[in-house]
Amino acid sequence: MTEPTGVQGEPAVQGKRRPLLQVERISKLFPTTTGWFGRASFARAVDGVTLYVRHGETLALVGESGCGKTTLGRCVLRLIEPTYGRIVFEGKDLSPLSQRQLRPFRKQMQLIFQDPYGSLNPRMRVGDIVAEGIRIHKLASGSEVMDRVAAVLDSVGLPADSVTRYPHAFSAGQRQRIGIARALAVEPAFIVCDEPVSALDVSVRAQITNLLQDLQEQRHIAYLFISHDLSVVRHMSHRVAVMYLGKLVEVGATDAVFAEPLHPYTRALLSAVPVADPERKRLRILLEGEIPSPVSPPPGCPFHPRCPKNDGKFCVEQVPSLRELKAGSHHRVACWHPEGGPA
Amino acid sequence: MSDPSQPVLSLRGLSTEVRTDRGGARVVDDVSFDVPAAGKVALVGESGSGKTMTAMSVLRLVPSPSAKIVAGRVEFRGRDLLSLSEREMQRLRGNELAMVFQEPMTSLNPVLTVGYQITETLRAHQSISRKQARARAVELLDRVGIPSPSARVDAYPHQLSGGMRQRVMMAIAMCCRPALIIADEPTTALDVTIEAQILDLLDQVRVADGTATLLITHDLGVVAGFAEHVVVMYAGQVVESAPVKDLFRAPSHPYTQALLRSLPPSPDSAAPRERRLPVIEGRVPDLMSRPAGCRFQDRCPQVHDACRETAPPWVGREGGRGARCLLLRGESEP
Repeated sequence: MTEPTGVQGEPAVQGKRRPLLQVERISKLFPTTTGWFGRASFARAVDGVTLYVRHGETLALVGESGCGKTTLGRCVLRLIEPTYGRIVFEGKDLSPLSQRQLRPFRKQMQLIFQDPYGSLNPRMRVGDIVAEGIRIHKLASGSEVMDRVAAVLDSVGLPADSVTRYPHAFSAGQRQRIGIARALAVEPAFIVCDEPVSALDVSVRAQITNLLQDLQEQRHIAYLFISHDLSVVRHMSHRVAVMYLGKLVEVGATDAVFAEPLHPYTRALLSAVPVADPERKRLRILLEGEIPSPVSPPPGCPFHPRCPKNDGKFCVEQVPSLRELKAGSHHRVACWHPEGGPA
Repeated sequence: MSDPSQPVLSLRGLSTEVRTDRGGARVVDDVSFDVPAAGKVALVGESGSGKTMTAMSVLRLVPSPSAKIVAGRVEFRGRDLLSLSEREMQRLRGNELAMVFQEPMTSLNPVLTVGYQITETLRAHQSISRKQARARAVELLDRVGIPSPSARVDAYPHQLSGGMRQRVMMAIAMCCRPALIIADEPTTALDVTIEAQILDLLDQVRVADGTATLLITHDLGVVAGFAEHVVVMYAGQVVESAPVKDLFRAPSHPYTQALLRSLPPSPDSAAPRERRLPVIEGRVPDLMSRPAGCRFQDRCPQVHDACRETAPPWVGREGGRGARCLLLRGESEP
């Protein structure tokens, strides 16, 4: 095993206020066995990612399937143990803590899943699903537990009689509300939302994104919002981080990244998003091929085999690190030939 | 060959029922629309709208005996599909009438090579040798953009990525130069970059072979970029049908209007970000407790008393448009 290739990411601390969450050079290597003698090799699902999330902010993590965004989300919560790197939450390094020592932080950090069907235990009543966290963390006792459950269900827009019903009695949108209620019940400061609206119908999707935004405003919760739907990301997030093959390739304020994408990959990704306007013909940048395997990532810039700007030299030989083109813009890109930069 | 001015597929009053323990329920209710030869029609709706059941009814693949086509006509190149024998139907499927499903993993057989699965279809419908079929399979894989096709022809589905598998499905669908491909959410499980490639492929097949496409999707962005004509379904019924530009420029039905409003603007849009998205309150009515009158009444911002009593009739307008709403009745009558 080798150290992560190249430092990826953003300088962790900016300004006086400490960010809620700092992720420093996180890597996750999954062992895979190949070859005749079962020689071990590794898939670099996440490769030296550094980023931060401020209090009450939404950082969106975007990229194609297989880019490592879900793995990164799980690593942040230590549901998957990162191979290298540090996770600092409220100034406390979580990496050396045992699962038992992590317990108090589990209350602070929650997760909302994509699949509203698979993520709820079909044999538990909704009241018990939502109460489980409250009981485990001993946030209330006796009849107070159910009072809290009722309050949380109300805040996500579910009727009070949901408590005694089972998940199968609810529609996909309502199930997603149950999942949100479960996360909210322990009053977290940070929630990883893993594709929370991708499985929902368009009309329900708007209801859930509005709910997530309302809750953020009322409770000042920070979200790590993992999604491949860039329209929803633009609507929801304050900042956006673009991942490709386990690495961050671009990060910055959502408006800046979407209005003036610097990385060729971000540009291609944006141009591929279907627009709900038949009269707007947009120039699509068609990418050749597909995302390479993280078991044998290309040398140099991970995007170079598909990149229209591949120069055949730097791009192939050296890994570009994230840098700011305009000082103070907090808009960073890992590319040898960014848009608007020197050619 | 059939007359190019005739629609390749024509549905008239198609109705399909599923059996439930509380009696029959019409999941597809009086559905009528046409797919012109070499045309691109999108069938749009949320889950439970009946769009997939409509496609399955056309293919006569509705699960039996739990569901049954109870009324209507389905004409494909002038033949009534509902009166064909199962044998005749089998001869048609995969040949003139092809399909692509959403799940490329579950619709491919995991224990057979992709080459076998393509040649199987070819040899079922055409009298060609094994060798010729294999050569044709390689050619097809090349055409759908699979790199090193002569090696991939021996690959198993699990060795391919999701996008590759969907290309294999496309290769199987187009192998007999069909007159129509019914594609049910072919890109829903794929990334946007791959989605764009697959939609381009459908368009290429149309240009090269004159294949019409009936695209079933819930994604209005895909509809806007791909379709020429759009049919919107809600709770088993067609609620609006219009050429794509008209539909997006001036939707007639309150449901279509609300649906378009609830979309967040595209990521590179210059429009300012709104704090909240307009939502459609409530949900699609349950199959067994659909209200009398208009099925959209409980969610409709323009609902009035008549909507609760009268089932809205289909109101056709010029330019191939039409919608099912009482509000439009006044407009069309002189």
